[in-house]
Amino acid sequence: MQELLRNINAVVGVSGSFVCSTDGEVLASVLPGTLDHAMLSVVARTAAQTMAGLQTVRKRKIKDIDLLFAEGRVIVRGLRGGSLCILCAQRVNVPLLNLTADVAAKKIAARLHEKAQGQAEPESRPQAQVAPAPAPAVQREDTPRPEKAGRMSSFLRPFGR
Amino acid sequence: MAVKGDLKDISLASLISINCNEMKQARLRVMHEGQQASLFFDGGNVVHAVLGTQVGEEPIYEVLTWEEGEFELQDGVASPQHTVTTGWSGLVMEGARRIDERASAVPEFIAPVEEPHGPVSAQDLIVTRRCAEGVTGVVIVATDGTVLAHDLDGESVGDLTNRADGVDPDQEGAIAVFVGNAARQIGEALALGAFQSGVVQSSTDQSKMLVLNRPDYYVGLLLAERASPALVATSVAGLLR
Repeated sequence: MQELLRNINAVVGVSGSFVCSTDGEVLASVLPGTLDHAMLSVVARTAAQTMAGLQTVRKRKIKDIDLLFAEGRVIVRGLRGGSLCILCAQRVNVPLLNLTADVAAKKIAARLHEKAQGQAEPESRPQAQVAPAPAPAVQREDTPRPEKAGRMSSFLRPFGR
Repeated sequence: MAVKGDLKDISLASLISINCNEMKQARLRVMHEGQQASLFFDGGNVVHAVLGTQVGEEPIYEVLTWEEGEFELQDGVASPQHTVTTGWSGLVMEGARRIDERASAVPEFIAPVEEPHGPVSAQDLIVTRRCAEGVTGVVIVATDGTVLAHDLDGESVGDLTNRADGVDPDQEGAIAVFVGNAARQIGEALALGAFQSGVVQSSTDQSKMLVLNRPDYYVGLLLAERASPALVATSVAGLLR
């Protein structure tokens, strides 16, 4: 996925991009060195929460969220199994960016799908007759995540809603 | 070369907004039921208007009530006089206020949830919706999620929700706050400065919501499929300034 992100970053006005899962976990990133991992995690979690919340409320898939700031722009593209986040200049040529991002997004979505299938397969197989493999990382129970359905309400709680 | 069109396709308020935002020097002729008015633009404002024997602001207020008619826009025409001093957004707001007075027989046009307070009023909504081409609904919501006012009649945006009776103002307001708050978090984390606006686009029906960040509230604008969020944001920001 790194190569696909580098292709996106090659578009004039794009400073970085990353892919996160629907849980807000950063899966791949090509970003400027000034951005630390903790900040990236905040952005990834927020992007994933926002995408999930909007899809729940709207009852349909969200294509993208385009956020404009005084000193930049963040485009969050919804993918099956995650989100693609692109950090760019405020006046980036969006149609030009889309030419590259659309292609990359399809390939990234396909890889996310493959990854999800790869993780699901061991559970659907019959009990192995050989020595069991080490438990995959996704089965770890030490970091429980909040229920998806509670995201919107928990996000709006600080606003008294 | 003159641009000609019909007021059914684009409102006069939109024509004023576009010509002023583009700082055009131009003359706009509007023909309606045998009457002809001329508006002159220069330096980002309407500087002169004529309707019959009337000149100044009154012809503009009269022309703003015309929902039907033809127009002709000629670029590069200098105004023969300067009879208008009010800014274009003030003219449009006053025009909308007068329209609202005339339309008081239809009180359900605008449906504030409660008595409007704070920095926005029902007037802002009327102006916003009428002036910004492609806006099919407006909700103004405080940062705590309280819907201050809305203009969501559900005629054009009924497909956004499953409600048969139109769009739910509380839900649309919550979405505006939700997006606005998320944007603020992302902006702070990435040190991108103040959040200005956001667009949420769904993939199935291409419906869009534009969220504008104001100091004390968010403006959520439901847009038609072909509306340009950038143009709408510019027009509405000018009106709410």
